[in-house]
Amino acid sequence: MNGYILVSAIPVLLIGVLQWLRPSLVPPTIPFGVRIPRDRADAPVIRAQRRWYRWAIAAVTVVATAGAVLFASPAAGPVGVAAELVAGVSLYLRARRRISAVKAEEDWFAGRKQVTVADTALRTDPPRYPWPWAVPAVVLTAATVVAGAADYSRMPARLAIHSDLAGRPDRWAARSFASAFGPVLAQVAATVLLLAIAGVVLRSRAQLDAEDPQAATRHRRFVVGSAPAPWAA
Amino acid sequence: MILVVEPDGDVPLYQQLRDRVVEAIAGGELRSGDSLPATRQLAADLGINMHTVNKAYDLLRREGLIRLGRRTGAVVIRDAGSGPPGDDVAGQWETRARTLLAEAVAKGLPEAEIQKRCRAILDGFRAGSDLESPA
Repeated sequence: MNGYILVSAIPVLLIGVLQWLRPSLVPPTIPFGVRIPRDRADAPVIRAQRRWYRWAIAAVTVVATAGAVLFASPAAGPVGVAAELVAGVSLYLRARRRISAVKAEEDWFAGRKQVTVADTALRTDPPRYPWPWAVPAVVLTAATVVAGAADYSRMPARLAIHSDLAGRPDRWAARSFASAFGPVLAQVAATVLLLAIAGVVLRSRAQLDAEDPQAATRHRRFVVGSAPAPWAA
Repeated sequence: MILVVEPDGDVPLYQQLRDRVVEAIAGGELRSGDSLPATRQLAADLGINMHTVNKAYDLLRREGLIRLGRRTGAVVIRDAGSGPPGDDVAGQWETRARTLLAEAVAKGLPEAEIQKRCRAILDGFRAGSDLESPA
């Protein structure tokens, strides 16, 4: 299998799978971004739209992936992904519009009180940052730094900093701190960014479901509580 | 403590907040020494104005239920187990209970029914404060 196919088909497939999963990744009371009462979560229109969306996304993904494999050119991947994204957004908006229309027509929120919910315990006794999850990323980054520092003197005077799709180096730089440790610095930055995002998400406003306010709290505690503790084995 | 308020309800929001906190203290969900979230944070979590939360906290402070400290934030300072109430508590409470009971009587609720409901509410508070042992 040549490099072009791998490089272009894998992102296309990945984006397709993520788009296919999208309806499952949101709370059941916000299908396609439409706020609905819990007892309508299984309404025929929602089930129909979800099914339609998944089939259509699956079809688009298969076509785009096949296209990326058949036209083994550098442009196939980006074009495939772009086509998928456009199709995904239009299908999403279509499902959203259909559900909204039925919701408005049947007045799903008629006779209901609007309430807002907060869990004070998330603020006064906040879940701890699940540091154990960060251990593999931190260890890996640290190991890369150590390996790079240890081998620095043995590196060639000219370092490859870019390879073409066939895996042949096509850009070079003289050995220096920047050229040798640039990739590691990017790795450090990405790790710090992801850890910071996890922290911000943990402190952000909890998405509580007013009809079952304990659910989100339970979920949050579960995510934090299920962090592995490698040193406590 | 799960705090539920109704932004479009008839009761003012600050009053709802104050009422929910008082109920949580009565039910044992909040105990003396427990903290309440910072004003800004609770306002953001509930999507309401910060001054509304301030007003509710101030009301609770004047009632002697919480203490507001610059560094400690809002802390519950009394619950059912904190000893006898102040001198004026019973009198003030009776005035308001009188109105509530009057409503029930005027609207034709039988006396036995009123008593039964009052009993059930009190039992509910006690059950909560007994079951939830302090962590």
